[in-house]
Amino acid sequence: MVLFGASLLVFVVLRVVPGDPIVMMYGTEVDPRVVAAERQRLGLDRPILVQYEIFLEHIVTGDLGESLRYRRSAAQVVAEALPATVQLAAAAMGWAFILGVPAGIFAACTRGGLWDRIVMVLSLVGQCTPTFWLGILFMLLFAVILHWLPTSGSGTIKHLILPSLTLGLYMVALLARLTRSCMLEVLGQDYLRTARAKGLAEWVVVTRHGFRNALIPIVTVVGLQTGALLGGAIVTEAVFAWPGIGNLAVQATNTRDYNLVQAVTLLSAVVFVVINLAIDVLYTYLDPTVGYS
Amino acid sequence: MAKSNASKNGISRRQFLKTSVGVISAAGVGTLSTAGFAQSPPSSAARELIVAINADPDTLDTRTIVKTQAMAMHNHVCQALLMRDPKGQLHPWLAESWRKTAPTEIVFKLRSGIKFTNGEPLDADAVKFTYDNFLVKGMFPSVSRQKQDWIRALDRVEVVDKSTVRFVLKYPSNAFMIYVPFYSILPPGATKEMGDKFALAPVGTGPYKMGEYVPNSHLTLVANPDAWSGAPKTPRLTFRFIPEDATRMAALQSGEVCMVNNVTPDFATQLSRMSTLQVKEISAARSMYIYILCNKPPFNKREARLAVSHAINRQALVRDAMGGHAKIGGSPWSPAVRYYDPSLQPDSYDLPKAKQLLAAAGYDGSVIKFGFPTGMWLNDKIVAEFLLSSYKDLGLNVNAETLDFAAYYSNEQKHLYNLQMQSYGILPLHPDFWVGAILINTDNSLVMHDDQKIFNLIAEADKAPDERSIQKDYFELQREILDYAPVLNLYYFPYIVAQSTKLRGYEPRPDEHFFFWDATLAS
Repeated sequence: MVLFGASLLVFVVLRVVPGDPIVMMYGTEVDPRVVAAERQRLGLDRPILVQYEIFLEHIVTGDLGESLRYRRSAAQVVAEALPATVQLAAAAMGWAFILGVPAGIFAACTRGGLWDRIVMVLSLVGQCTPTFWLGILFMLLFAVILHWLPTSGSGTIKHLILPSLTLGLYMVALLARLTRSCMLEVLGQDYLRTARAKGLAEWVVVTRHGFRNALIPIVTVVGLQTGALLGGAIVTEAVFAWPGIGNLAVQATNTRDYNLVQAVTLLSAVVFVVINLAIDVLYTYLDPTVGYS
Repeated sequence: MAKSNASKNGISRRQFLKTSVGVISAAGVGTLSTAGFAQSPPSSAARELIVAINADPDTLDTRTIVKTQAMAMHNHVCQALLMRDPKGQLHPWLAESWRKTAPTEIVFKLRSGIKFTNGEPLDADAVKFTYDNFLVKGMFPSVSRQKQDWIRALDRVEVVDKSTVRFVLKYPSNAFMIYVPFYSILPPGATKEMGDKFALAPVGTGPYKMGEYVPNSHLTLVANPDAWSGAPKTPRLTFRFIPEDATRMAALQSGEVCMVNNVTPDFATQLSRMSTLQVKEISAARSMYIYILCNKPPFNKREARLAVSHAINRQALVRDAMGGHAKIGGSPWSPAVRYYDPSLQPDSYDLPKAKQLLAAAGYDGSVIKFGFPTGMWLNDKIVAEFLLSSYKDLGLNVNAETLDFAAYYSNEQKHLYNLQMQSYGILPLHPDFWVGAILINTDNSLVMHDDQKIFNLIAEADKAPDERSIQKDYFELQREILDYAPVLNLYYFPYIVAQSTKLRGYEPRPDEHFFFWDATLAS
């Protein structure tokens, strides 16, 4: 249903938005008869419902059409760029877990104290800071001034650090606040008091008994935020010249490369659906009381 | 002790979670260490040049390339019969000589002994094959229509012998030759064999050959040791594609790249303060224009068009919108383009005179549609706002419309705008490239003027028997365009590049091409 909705939405929006892909491809100085012939060859002169029907028929066979810009299979173009975005998003998520979750746990355990306040202020700043500005700032500091990391490009771990940190900082802030909130709810529960009474070390109480029960809402938000990460990757990829689908989507939209935009959107939707499905399955193991009929 | 929640044959929750964490961690490490899809190459000062360009070429096939930067990168690998110097003069390249044997015939003599990097010979058959891709309908369906249009005067290419080709034109045309440098010669065998892959890994005769092309990342070229023109001075050349201006400048400042193109005036000021960098600014072959739709009121009257021209303070425009980095002149094309008449002066800024002219034209206050795309050219939005203010001062009732370029491009063909702001780059450095596109009335024409003198001068310049006559015609054409005013030139763009002070053998060109086969990076 999600995939069908995404395909319909992107198809309709592309054709409603002004801009002719044939004119973009060939320029305004080309003979209008050539433009008309090309439009006919590509099926763009047919009624929109007929075009959509043909589009759906082709999707079933895995044919997402040819990119007008690259003159190759749109699916292939996207498939070549997708790993870069997945890598970036995964690394961003990694930062979120490495920095955000421990910060949230720490803040919950030191509630009301100085460190709690510091973590909350920083997470507020992190959620309010625009990605574009942050990326440029990181680039100036770590690449231009300190020469610790490259400014842009891809290929090594060093190239991944700045863009993934830029993309992931919002998630770090979000997870810190969410983890703190969930932990505070859990830390006051009777079973944790029982665990302490049994003589367990505090860190065991917090991590093994407390955190595991706070994990479910965190996992839910992570799943929902995957879409935001993929969307946020567009800005990050532009700033850091990261060769992912975000960059591809922007260029494809600017040139009205219908097939490429559709391919990017559909494949992104597939990734989003798969991740959320995985999260739904994960619930049943995190919480045995959750089941699906 | 807690009961295990595993069934007899199933997996326990604990086991599943441990396995999942293990799998995800392994996948994460594997992903992080994967570098197969894009490698930014190492930088080694003397043996490699790395430059940052603001656009990906998309394709490296001469049959589909039209973008300036793409052509420049492509020409390091693939070469045409002729090459154009920074003044627009043609020089032998793969052809050692050429001569006009009849008004509609040009014979090229090819250099002997040249081979493509796959071993195929450069010969007359390869030249014919190349041009047939544009001339023969259906031979290459994806061929650029724009490039087909550029050589519309060409009827056919004939093989005289292995090293001689004859180009037969449909009609005499001086301008035809200016397009020859845009058509690199293809190796017939490799082109057919490689099919679509040729666009990503072309085979040529140039000083470099393909190393690696990763779309949206980089293009790496390696020296061709058997190049007929000699090996390049630096064996490895990498173009990194960095569209974002701030990122491109940061790459230069950090020393990752040795040159960046298309520097904006703001960054030029900042970069020029660094002792390790050098900023170079020249007048580009690109101008900003107002195209006026001449077949609709009020601009079907010359007085109304001149009124708009006199209402624009070009000096203030250049100072305020372009930071003083553009130039103004009376010619419709920039000093970098051939046959530029330096004696012409732009219409002076004279608002009272402009209002008188507008009144004389009988302007009745009807809505004037002004269109301009945004995000395409340097400070285009600021320039458009300046113009709107000028129109308001003049007393025009303007309805402005701005769209992204794709949407604007579609609208402009429908003649929706009375006034349009647009830039045009005269890549061959020859005025025919612009006058043929803008001032010849076709269904696509943006101005639709009816000045027969302009039509006659364009035709005469194309058929003129010698250089002196051509210059005379183009000089007269410039005066006529200034007087009749179907198009108003606002300013000539600057072309600004920034480079390391260690970079030698590279100079910016007004056609925005860049060639690095003679460039070195001093250690």
